Amino acid sequence: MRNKFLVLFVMLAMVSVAAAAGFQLYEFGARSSAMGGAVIANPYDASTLFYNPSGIAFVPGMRFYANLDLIFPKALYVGPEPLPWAGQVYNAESQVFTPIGLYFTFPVNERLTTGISVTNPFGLGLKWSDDFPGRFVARNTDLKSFYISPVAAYKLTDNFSLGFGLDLVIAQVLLERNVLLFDNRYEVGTSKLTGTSQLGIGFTVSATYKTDRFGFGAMYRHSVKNEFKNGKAEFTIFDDLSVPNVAAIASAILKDQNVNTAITFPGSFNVGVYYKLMDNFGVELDYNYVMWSVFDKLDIEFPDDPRLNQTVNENYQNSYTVRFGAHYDLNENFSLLGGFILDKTPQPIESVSPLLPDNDRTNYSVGFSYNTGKMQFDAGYMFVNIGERSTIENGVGMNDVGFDGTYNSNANLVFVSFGYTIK
Amino acid sequence: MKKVLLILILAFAVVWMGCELKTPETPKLNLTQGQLALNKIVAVGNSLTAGYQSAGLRRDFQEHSYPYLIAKQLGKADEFEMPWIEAPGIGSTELTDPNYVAGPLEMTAEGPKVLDSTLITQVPTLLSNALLPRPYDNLAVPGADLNDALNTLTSEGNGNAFFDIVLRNPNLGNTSMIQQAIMLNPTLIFLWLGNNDVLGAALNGGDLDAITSQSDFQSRLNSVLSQLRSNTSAFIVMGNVPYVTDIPFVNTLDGIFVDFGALGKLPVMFDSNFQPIDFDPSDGVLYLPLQTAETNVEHITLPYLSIYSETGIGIPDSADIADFLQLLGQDQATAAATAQQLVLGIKANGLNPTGIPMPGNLTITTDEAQSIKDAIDGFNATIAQLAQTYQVAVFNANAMLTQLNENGIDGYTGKYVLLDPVNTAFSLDGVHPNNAGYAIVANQFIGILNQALGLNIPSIDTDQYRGQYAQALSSRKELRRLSFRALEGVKSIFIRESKN
Repeated sequence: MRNKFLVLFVMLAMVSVAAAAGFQLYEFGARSSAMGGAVIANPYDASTLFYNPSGIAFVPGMRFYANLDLIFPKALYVGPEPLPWAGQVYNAESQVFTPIGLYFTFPVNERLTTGISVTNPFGLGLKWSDDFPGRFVARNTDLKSFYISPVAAYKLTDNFSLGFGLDLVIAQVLLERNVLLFDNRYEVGTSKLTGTSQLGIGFTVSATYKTDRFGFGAMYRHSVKNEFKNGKAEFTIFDDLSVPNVAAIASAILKDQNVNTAITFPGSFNVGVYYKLMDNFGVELDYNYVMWSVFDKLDIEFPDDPRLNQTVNENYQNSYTVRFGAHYDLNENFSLLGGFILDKTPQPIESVSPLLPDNDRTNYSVGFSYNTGKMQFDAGYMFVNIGERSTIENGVGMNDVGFDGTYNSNANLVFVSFGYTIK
Repeated sequence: MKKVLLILILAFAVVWMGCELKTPETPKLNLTQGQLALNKIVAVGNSLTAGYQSAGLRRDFQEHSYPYLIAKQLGKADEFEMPWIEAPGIGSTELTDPNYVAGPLEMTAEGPKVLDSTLITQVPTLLSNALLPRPYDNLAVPGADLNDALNTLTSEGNGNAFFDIVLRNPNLGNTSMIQQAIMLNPTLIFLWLGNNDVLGAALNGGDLDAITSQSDFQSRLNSVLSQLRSNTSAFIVMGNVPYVTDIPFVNTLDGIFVDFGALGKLPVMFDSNFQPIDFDPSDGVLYLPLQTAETNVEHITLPYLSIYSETGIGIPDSADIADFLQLLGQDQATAAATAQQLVLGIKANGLNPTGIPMPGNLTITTDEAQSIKDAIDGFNATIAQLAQTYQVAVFNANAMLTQLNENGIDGYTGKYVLLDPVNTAFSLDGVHPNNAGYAIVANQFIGILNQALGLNIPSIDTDQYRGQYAQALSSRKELRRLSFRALEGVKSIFIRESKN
């Protein structure tokens, strides 16, 4: 009887998970990234395994290509009047994230090329200080995805190829936040949810049409549902509670246990057009349509105690990204690269939170590529301007769980790649 | 080539440096500090905060408790969680069958009566909100004093079931009323305690041992306020203590006292309108004093009504009357003869001249009344002083009751229902307000909130509560035929052993 009663205390705000535009990454080859990711229509190196798998039919030879990103995200929060923390600025802690891209292509014959890649197309996280007033919503979030993608591309004609690939996906999640009991009023400790998903499977279908000066590429990437079974929920109860006896209640109900959930990484449809304006100067325009509406809600289930189950509403909207890229070849080995991106956020204002304060983004990228034919070295830099977004519209707080304020965020990305080709 | 690289690195550095996050302008919610204080309302207190009426607690009474009325004015009634007690409710009147719990008093044509009761084992079925997985927003426990608010966790050993009904320990971790308030991290606290640190003394006919000492009162209130202050950032409104001798339970029979000059003021035999009976059929006046064990009596409490009409204790017999007539100057023989006649007349009217003096627990002497007032003055001085120390707003309940008694409020009076059936602000127990009385209290709190927090909470229209007992009283028989026996038992939870 007692336990039955106690269990009812657990309140809905205990856990929530979210992925977001900010969790989507598109930077998996330094040359490609420096061109704003606008490379679908002009396959150049093995990173096309990520951007447009059918393109590997146009990059001859057996290729190794490896990419490392260094991502330095920044975010801050300012509290609104008349809350007690009005005007106070809370900066997210400095972190560096290092998604990778590893590629290998293997031509089987004149027409058929196979390849495999490992990428982390959804990831990132945010960590706030212990005194951050939104610590009940999110204090430390880290989401990683590993896409292992075998691909086959077939040249139907000299100018046209089709590609088909599988996405074998594993995701990892870490969510830490502080726990409130009693109608979300009394802070008793922290919760930490960790989990590794089961294997999720998706696929890609892609096509490339390419002439000397012109290129067209298209790819469909299917969504991937990642089931987290037997994730772990761990709780820490503070030992200096103002009502000491609450610790006993809290530890009686916040028992470490398994937790299940599922996160669906959205599918996308991507097209691009490339045109070589001059012999040493080409430009490309790409469009990504990301079907984020699959991320409408998150069901978190506690199999050992279904009364703790909860649903978090996210209600993401489908969104799009427009990418513009250019390369200028100084000589046959060395190219300068640039890009510009308009990235529409899928996140409705209700879901803007310390988990991820997303916004429409404008990104700028620069870089260079050095290619001897056998060896390729690329490096670049991108500035992701996320900018200010407030959950307060005309004085009304819009956040779904009532944590309102204004965020400002951006990210600096550095990427380096190395490639080796055996002809 | 090197030049190009250098330019790239330089450009890169410039961009990077320019990417420091600007601090955005502080956003503004359309909320004032005052509105923010309304975010989470929690009430702590005793019967007056619980909404106790007519010697009991029942959902329709709780819905007229002042915290609930205020939550309703704010449109927050749905989220304001109460320890609902469904009909027939739980009263404090003691029944002859100990297996049953009395419901509240009802006004009937035969007088205030307990009409319904519940088998003790069935009481849990009345508690419709008992599984609320958090403390109640109204944490008031009828009968609680300051010490209870700090230390009492259950009903064990105190015979007051309301502690278990409200605090629900051990399920809430063996926490006190004040601790449960802290667990809700309130932004606004209604705090009205201290009445029960003196009320029992008045209800029990001037039992001065039932008054908390000034030093204990001071240290306990200090502890309550320091705990609430250090663990919440709430705006706190604290009620002070009204004069408990100015309530109908104590003062309804004040009108039967007659000044006999050298003999002093004495209570005399009274009629159905609580008026002294003039036993002199000719032009003169003759009032017959009631017999009291204590001298210098200033008040006779309400339960005496049933004793007066049923057992006749306190009604003088012929010897008492003869003695009194002699004191007035009659000779012994005349006095004895007159007394015989008067006793016949008294008996003819259905009263029983026993000559047994009424016991001291029904009467409050002048000295006892003064001690009670002095204690309350001391408590209120402590409340005022600690209110300053802890930045707490004070609701002057003492002044409100005085105003109610002297001038009325919104046309309501502090008279007992039998003296003012339509406009009384008190319930049938003569101690607690009725619906109108609680609405008046709520309006006082609202006034304080509006002033201190710059708010515009509308006042409650108290007119809607006029005549709560009018229907039953319209067929009321004469006083002597009304039963007041139920009133004798209404005080059990308010009278506990000595406070010191």
